[in-house]
Parts: sequence; structure tokens; C-alpha cells
Amino acid sequence: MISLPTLNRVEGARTNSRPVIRAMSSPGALGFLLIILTFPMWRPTYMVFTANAALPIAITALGLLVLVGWTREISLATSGMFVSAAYFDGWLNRPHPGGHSWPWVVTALVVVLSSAGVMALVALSSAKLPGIYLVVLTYGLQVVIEKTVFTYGYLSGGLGGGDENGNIVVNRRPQFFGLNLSTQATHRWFGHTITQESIFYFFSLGWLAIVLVLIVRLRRSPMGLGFLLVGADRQAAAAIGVNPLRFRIYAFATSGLLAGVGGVLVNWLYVNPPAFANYFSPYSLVLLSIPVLAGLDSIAFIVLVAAMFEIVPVQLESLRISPFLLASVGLLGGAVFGSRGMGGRAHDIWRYVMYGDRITRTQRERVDTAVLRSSAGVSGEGMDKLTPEQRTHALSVLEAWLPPRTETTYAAKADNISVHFGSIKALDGASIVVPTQQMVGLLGPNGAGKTTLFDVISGVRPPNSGTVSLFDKDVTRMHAWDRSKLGMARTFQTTRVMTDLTVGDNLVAGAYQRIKAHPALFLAGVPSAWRQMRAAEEAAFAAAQLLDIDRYWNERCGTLEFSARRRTEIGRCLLAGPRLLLLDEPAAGLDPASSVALFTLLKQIHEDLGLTVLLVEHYVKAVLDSCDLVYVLAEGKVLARGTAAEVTANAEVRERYLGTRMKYNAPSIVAEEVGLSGNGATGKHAGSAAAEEQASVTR
Amino acid sequence: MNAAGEPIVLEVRQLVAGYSGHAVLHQVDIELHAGEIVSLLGANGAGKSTLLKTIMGTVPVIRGEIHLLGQNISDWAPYKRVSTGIGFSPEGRRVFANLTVEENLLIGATSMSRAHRRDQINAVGDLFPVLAQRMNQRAGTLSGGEQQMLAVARAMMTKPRLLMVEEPSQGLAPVVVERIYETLREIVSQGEVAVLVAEQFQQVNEEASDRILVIDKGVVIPDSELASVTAAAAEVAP
Amino acid sequence: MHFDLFFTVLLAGGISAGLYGFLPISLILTYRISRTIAFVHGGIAALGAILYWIFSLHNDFLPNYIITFSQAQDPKTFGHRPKWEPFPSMLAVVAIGAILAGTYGFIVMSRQLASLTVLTLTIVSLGAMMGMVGVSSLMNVDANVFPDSPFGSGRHKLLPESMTSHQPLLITNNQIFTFLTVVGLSLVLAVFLTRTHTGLVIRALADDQEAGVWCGVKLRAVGTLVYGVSGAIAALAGVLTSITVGANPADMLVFLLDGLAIAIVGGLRSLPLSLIGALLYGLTETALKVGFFGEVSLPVQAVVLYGALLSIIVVVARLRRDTFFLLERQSL
Repeated sequence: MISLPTLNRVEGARTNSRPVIRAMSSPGALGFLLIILTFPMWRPTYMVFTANAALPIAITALGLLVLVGWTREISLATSGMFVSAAYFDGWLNRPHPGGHSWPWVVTALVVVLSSAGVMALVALSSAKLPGIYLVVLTYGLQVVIEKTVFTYGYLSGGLGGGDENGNIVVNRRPQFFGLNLSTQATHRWFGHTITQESIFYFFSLGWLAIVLVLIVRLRRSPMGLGFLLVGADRQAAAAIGVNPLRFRIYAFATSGLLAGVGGVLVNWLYVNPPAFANYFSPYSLVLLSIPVLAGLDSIAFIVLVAAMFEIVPVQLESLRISPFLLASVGLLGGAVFGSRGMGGRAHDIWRYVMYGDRITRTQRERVDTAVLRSSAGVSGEGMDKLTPEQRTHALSVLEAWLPPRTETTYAAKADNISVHFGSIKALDGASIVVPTQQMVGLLGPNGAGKTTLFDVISGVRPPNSGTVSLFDKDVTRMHAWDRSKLGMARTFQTTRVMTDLTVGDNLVAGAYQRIKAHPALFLAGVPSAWRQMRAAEEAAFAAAQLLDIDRYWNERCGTLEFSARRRTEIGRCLLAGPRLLLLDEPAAGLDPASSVALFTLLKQIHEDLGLTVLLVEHYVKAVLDSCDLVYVLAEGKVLARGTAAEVTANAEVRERYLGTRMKYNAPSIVAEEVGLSGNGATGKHAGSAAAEEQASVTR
Repeated sequence: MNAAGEPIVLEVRQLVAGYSGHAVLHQVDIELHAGEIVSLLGANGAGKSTLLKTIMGTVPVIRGEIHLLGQNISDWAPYKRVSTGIGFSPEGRRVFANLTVEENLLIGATSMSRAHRRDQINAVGDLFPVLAQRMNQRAGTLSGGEQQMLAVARAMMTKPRLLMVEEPSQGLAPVVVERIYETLREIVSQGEVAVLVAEQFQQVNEEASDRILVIDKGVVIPDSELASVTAAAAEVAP
Repeated sequence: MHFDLFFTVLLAGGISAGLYGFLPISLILTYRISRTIAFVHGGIAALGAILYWIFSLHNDFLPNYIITFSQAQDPKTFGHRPKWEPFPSMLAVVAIGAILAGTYGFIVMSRQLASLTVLTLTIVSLGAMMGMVGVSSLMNVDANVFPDSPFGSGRHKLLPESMTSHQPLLITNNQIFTFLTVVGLSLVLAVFLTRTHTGLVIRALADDQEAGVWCGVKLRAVGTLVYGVSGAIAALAGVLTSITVGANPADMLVFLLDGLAIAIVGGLRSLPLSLIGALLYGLTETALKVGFFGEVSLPVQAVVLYGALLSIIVVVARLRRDTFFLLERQSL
């Protein structure tokens, strides 16, 4: 990496509660703005016309950003929808026999909403099928459009530019609140003649600006984070209350809507309807390549790349660059830039210049390697990094965020659960109860059914028989995302954070179901809605402080080490506002010091916030030392249940599971007295207990 | 040769390795002798998996060397290393679920001649009688323990001199794990094979290992500091 | 429904379905080995169609067809070459297709690139396809002139007129060849995959590519082979399409997407299922065209055809008990 000078600024925790202002304040955006606004003054008219043609494409591409970039779905029908919107708008706008015609506002609305509706229907009809089937479905839609809409002369102008009566189809530009946009009029402004194309340019720019503001607001709102979560990992999304099926439909509807807007603009732009020959299915692939090249989360670059796709062929006319070659360049370029595209790389470089490299940005380094080698009495993971006041404050913020403590006796109950995969019985009549405000552990080998039981309780997998109830409510038939609303959240065995997003975004995404404001309010910029967002951010920051990942707030999760990602996932669950936390092997893959620290932390959070915790673990000692109630599963059935002492005393458990190497009398590694003083002393005790043991052995 | 006169099977010198030029392993030095089982302990992200994959050839070497039976294999393609004498049972077993047990074993011997494959299947069947009874069963339907044995058996098909097993205990009941370690003991008892077992801290089987190496953040801690680590590891093992 | 057209539909449709079977075979072979959709085959099919046209129909040197660069050049000074016979042209095109695809496979299956994500590899494939189609469209061929078939232009009556409502049902040599090739190819592949060691290796790689490498499989060699064979098949598909409907690169793209849809009938993994899909697609298309369902306008034909294809896919997906939506691993 070439050595760029850093300006050594300190990067404060970024907040998204005023998204448009934040987006506008980046230098890229300002420079952009300057170029865009002055464009007509220093380029010839035909270039302005090309730019006019590019703007609707940019708007359509923004719709694809939501669909392809955020939600990771594919549509091959975008080209057909886009140009159909143009055709239908033109048709509705033209005076019909009898003389009357619809006002342009009405036709525009009808076209845009129908476009959104069609795409939503397409998504709905593929409800539970994997994404690959949607590729075929949208392709089918594209072909149907080509065979119908493109062939009707009164819509597309037909092959000879004529409708069914042989008349050439001509569009009219609307009278936009007194502003005459038609191609014949000319304007004078301070003595200069302003061409019609320039007027239309600023008109289109206005629409693009509106769309941009809405998209930026969408991205920063809970709904945007919901899209990203569904795109990254459907199961994780469901686990915190995001309904992936519904979001898929929303994403398709949004792309349809924006394709409609683009189409309406195109219709106003051209005198005759655009030639359909340019909009066959290959063009859908060209459009698809725009978000790929620009980056799956880069709003500004989408506009840039879309503009380039239109302008470059015109500039380099002599080379006869076909859309295929453009798409080819776009896609191969996108492969080079990676999933974050040009925009992502540019953003990385900018941060590097402003704030330095990652080490510099995240000043406090983990003090961990030392634990293994020296006995400096260093504790586990930074539990003592927070001052007592900070800790109490963070706890209170998070407590305020969480829902009130439940009064029911049992947080969860699974009764006589059976699950089979073909002939294999994963669970065979297993029953467990999770009493409120207790920490319950599930032990047992794989194939015993622990993760399957988890999946059943959390709603990811329906049982073949048996019932599940959460907080005394029967949820056996309920979807995962609905169970989450009752107060449950879970982590997964393979840590599933959104690697391309920052820790901050990941944590706040967890708050999706707790933010009650309607998405439309966020889009409209209503302050009360964004205040709720701010509250979520503060709760997320408090959780980050408690989990010792606050210094990684602006870092992308993909760059963090494993234990930090694990803690981010747990934090995300906390933000979902659960009263029952399901943890799937929280200590898997951690070294002893980190495992101990994590369990101490979990125990602490469990006590301080009154959470009920159900966990699956292989780290037997940690479970026995920290859980109030322990179940041992084997071959799909409950082998034993009781307190740690009862379970280890069980002869069958010893023989079938624990084996002979278990040291039953070793001191507890998880501190038993977890005080509320919040001075971090407990963490120190846990770590130093182990350190003392090790010191005593070596002496 | 080590003190007991056993030949050196694997030698790793000052190895720096990682994807896309980002070093994950830093100056790793390791020596393995025939007839011993060495445990490599480390947390996720510590570099255990990367080290094994570098020895296999799927992670590029940035600096340093890897020597197998005296030959410098640092630049070799994976299939060449396998045919020279490395067998690898990866984390999570990674058996070919849609193939039968026999077909899995045949793939393990893909770098050998057809005649050798047949012979070796019989030999491996003796070592793992459980598998011999299930030759035509689809590997995806085997239990966790049986799949682990299949993975090791598959790695043994090339008659390797170095056998690397990654996290054999993962998700298995301790009693099953004990049986697997017994088989590993049997494999090294003939004195020709060196076995390197990578495990997480919680799973280390001390009685089965002749030596324990610890890797943390890409650095292998030298043997001399191990006394305390072993004790610490003992505290946390089940 | 016009049942008197039944045999016409059955035979003509069945045979025309042959052409639809090629690309799914290519796509499925490469999907199994790399878990990505090899869009690049669409590009190879496009190039195949164009090259076959150029080899067999024109007698000038190649550069003349790239008008962009040669506008200033005098075509007459380039000299002439004799037109090539159709059969050698076909062989040459198939060989070129194999080499191009093999090279693509060689590059993509190298140690460094094989570790890229599925998404990135798919994008690269898509980009390569668009590039090839782009290059193809630079070449100036007359899409209304169809090149000759290597198998002569003989036509044969398949059924007596009494069975086909008094319209002669004629089958060209080309169609017979197409059909027989697809069937033969499938059989050969089936035997190859189940009986040979290399076939076993391919099946193993389909399950777990990384584990295969750790077992000592020469990934690059196998990958190149599979891509090469698939590329040859795709090029052949291009040649045959050029003969039947003309050499238009954009049409090839449509052909690929249709092939993808048919391959999805088999879940991108099962050759027999997708061939059945091709058969049903061909039958439905023919039925609509010859008027089995009565007079159907073009738009409705398209709707019915794709609706049928989609229903087949959904039914097959349900029958194979494809995993419940939430539980399936996200592939893209």
C-alpha cells in the first residue's frame, strides 16, 4: 500500500441520525455537486442531452442498489419494466379520441405505482423459493414484456415508429407548474439563452436529488439496515425480528418503483418513444452490472457509473462501444474491486488519508497474548477498561432500552419435541424448560440434537411433533421473526455479522424491531422518528462499551478478529431487546482467557439486566460453573437435568458423555460472586484466579 | 534426527504466510519426527488452520520454507505434496456426502495408481473396521464419529508420512474422541508416520500427545515456555 | 385442442428440443465443479455462431468483418480465401470453443482464483460473456442469411400424411443430428461420471471442492477438462443455432438464459431432469407454434411458454424437497 499522508484526525463514533447532512458533507459529494450543477455551462448541448438520458438510468440503478446491492437478489426484468413505464406513460399522456387526456401527475403516479406493484407480485409469487428461481421468474417477465409491450405500436411506436393507425407517435412534455418544458420553448436568463436541454437537465436533476435524499434516508433508517441484514444472512435476520420474505417483496417493489420513475422521466425526455431494440434482456444484464461495479453500498458511485455508461459510448463514438462491452468492463471491473466496488475502495482510501490505518484508528489494543506468557496479573478482556461510572451509565442506558422484566415463571418451554430428517431422528421426545432469569446450559455431543433443539425453539425449524412456548405463549406455529417480537434473540454457531458493515451498523441493525416509527416517517425526515434512531444508537454504543468493542464502532466487521465479531453478534442480539437470549456455542473458537472473560461477562449481563440465558456449549467446565440449570442431551433425548453438581454426579452422564478426564473438583473459573458494584473487579477476579493457579503450579 | 534417532518428517523454518500478502503466520518454526503425535493448540483466528493449510499448499508462503522428508515443498502444488506423503483430515470432516465410503477412500488415493488404490482400501479397512462394514453406505448418512474416522482413513490412503488432523474432537462425545486418539496412536506405533493434531484449548488430549505446541496470533510459542501453558490448559480442559 | 396435430407436436417438438439440451449440459457440468453459473458459455455460443458463419459463408479474411477498425482499409487489397466446407468449419469452431473455455477454466481454477467467492466468480463469468458477445456484435454478419449445415440439406418425411393432418412433417438432417448428439452426449457423460475415476473426481469436487484439493486432486487439470468439454458443447450449440435461426449474438444471450432456466429445472445438478425440462419446453413451444391449442397470438404464446417452464421448476423443486427457504444457505 503506498504511503499516504494521514491527517491524524480522531475519528469519532459516527452517528446516522442526520443522514442527508452527513452524506452531503463528504468531499466527494461536494465536488460532485459542483460538477453536476455547472455541467451545462461547459459542455455542448448534445452532451447535455446525453446526460439527460443518463439521469433516468441513474434513478433506475438506485432501485437496483436496493435490490441487488442491499438485499442480494437478482432481477432480469429491469430493462423491460423501465422502458414499459416509459411507453405506458406516453400512451396515457397522449390525447385520446374524444379529445381528453389525463393530467400528467395522475399518469405518472399510476405508472410508477403499477410498476412497483408488478415487481412486488413477482416477488410474492416466488414466496419461499430460493433466489435462483427469481432469476428465471424475472427473466420470464422480461420475455413476456418483449413479446407484448414491445410489439404494440401504440405503446412502443412499433418498428416503423407508427401506431396502429400508422401515425408517428409523438410525446409531449408536461407543463410543470408553469414551467414550460416543451422542446420548442426557449428561455432567457440574464441575457443568456438557455437551451431547452439545459432546462430539462435541471428538472431531471431535481428528481434525482429527491430520489437521492430518499435513498440516503432509507439506507440509514432501520428499514435500510433490515434490507442489508436480509441480504447478508436470512436466518440471522429472522432471529432479530426481520421478516426476510416481506423484505424481499419490499426490495422488488422499490426497484420497480424507481424503474417506473426513470421510465416516466425518459418518456418526458424523448420526442418519440425510445426504440425498444435497445431494451431487450441483455440490457437488463447491463443495468445489473452498474451496482456491481459501483459497489453494493455506494450511493454516489451508482450515479457516477450510470452516467459513465451513458456518456462514454457517446464520447468514444468512433469505437462503437456496444452496451455489452460496457457491461463486460463493468462486471470485470467489479470483480477486481470486490464486493464493495469502486465506491467502497474510494471510501477506504479516504478514511486512510483522514484518520490513519486501522491500528491508529482503534488505539486501544487488546491485551491478551500476555495472559498466556506472563503472569502480570492482567485480567481477561478489558473488563477494567470502563470506569465504574461509565459502566453504570452504560448499564442504565441498556436497561432502559430493554423491555420490562417478565413476570412469567418460564421464559421458554419445549415439550416432547421430535424432529426427523428422513430416517435420522435428530430429536426424539426431548423436553426442556427455561425458568425466567436463570442461566440454562445444554450439553451433549453433536448428533445429540442441541442445535436442532435451538433451531426449534427459535423458530428456524418446525418440529415434526411437540410444542414450544415462549413466555407462556404457544409459539409452535409462529415464524422466527414473530417469536423475536415476543422477546427472544439468538446467536449462531458460525458468527454471522454483516462483514461489510461497521460494528455500529451491525449493532443498530439489531434494534430493528424495537424502533416503532413507520418507515415512511424516516423517509420524510420527521425528527421524532430520527430521534428514535438516535436512541437506538446510544443503546448500541452502551452495549458496545459493555462488550468492549466501542473502539471498533467505525470499523468493518470483516476486519476484526474473531472474538470481537462474536461479541458484536451478541451485542446485536441485545439490541433486539430480548428477555431471553439463546447463545449457540458462545465460547467456540476462543482461547481460554477470552472464553473465561466472555462467560464472566455473560453472567454479569445476565444478572445486571435480568436476562434469561439458554446456551449450547462444548466448553463443559464453563457451563457447569456458570449455569443454574444444566441439561445433557444424547441421541435426541434428555439424558439428565439438574444443577451442575447433580448432573456431574449422574453415573450415566459420566459414562456416556463426560468420560474419565473430567476434573470435578477444580475451582470455578467463573467468579461466583458477581457484584453490582460495577468496578470491574469481578472480571479481574476471574482472570487472576486462573493466573494464580498457573503461578502456583509453576513455582 | 531427534534424540531418539527418529527421522525428521516435517520441518518448517521461519515461515511467514497468509492470503493476499497479509501475513497471518509470523516466523513459525516446527519440527516433527516420525512416530510422534504432536498437538497444536490455538483459538479461532490464532492461525492453527492457516498453518495446516499452508503446509497443504492452499495458503501461499510469503517467506520461509517448508521441508517434507528433506525436500523443499514451499512452492509445490497441493497434489504434489499429497503424493509425496501428506494426508490431511480437515476441520468439520469434509467427507464427500453424496459419495459412498468406498468412493471417498478412492478419492483419497487419487494421486496413486489404480493397483495401489485397491490394496490400500483393504489396508485401511483393517485399520478402521467400522468403515469396512459400511463400504457402500453414503458418507452423508454416517454418524459424526464415523465421518471423522472416514476423514482420517481417507487421508491415510496415500500411505502418508505426515498425517495432519484438524479438530477431530469437534462436536463429538468425549468417549468417541478417545477412540479416535487410540487409532492415531496405532498409526504412529509403527514408527514411520508423524501425526500433527490441531485442537482448540478446551479439547486437548494431553495423555495422547507426545508434545504440545501452542499458536497464538500467528506465532508458535517455543517449547520452553510450555510448562505453564500445559498447566493452564489443564485447568480449562473438561 | 387439435389432436390431429398430436404426432406432429410429439415428434417435431421432441426433436427440436434437442437444440435446447446442449447449453443446460454445459451449465450443469461447470456448476457441479465450481458452484458458479458459467455464463461464459453464452459468450462461447455467440462466438461459435458468428465464427461458423464467417468460416463457411465468407471468402474474405477475418479483419474485414471488424468494420470499426477497417473503415479506412480497402477490402480488395486483403485478398481472398476459399470458403470452408461446413463440416471442417464446424470442427474448427468446436475446437476453438473448447480451447477458449479450457483457457477460461485454466485461469479461473488456478490456486489463487479458485479461492474467490462464488459471487465474484459469477460476476467474472458474466463479464467474460458480455465481453465475448460484445466482440461478436462488432463483426458484421448478415443475420438473415443462414449458413449451410454440415450434414447436408436433406429432408425426410417422418410420418405418413394421414397422421399429420395432411401436412408433410419434414425433418432435416440437421435436426436429426442435433437430437442424436444430445442423446448420445448425455449417455456418454452418464457413463463417464459413474464409471471412470475422473468422473468420480468430478462428482467429488461437486460435493466439496476444497476437500478434493486436500485429497490430492489436480483441480486445475480437471477444471480445465470440464470447462473445455462444456465449451465445446456450447460452441456446437452456437453452430447449430446459427444454422437454424441465424447468427445474431443477442439471440445467443436469450438462448443462454433459456438454457439456464432449463438447467434450473434440474436444480443445476441433475442432467436427466434438465433434459426432461428441455423436452417439455420443446414440446410446449412446438405445440403453441403449430396451433395445437388453436390460434394463439404471440404474446400469449410467450406467457404460456414461460409460465409452463416456471411451473415445471416449482413442481420439481417441491418434489425434490428443496430446502425450506429460511434454512438454505444463501448462494449469491
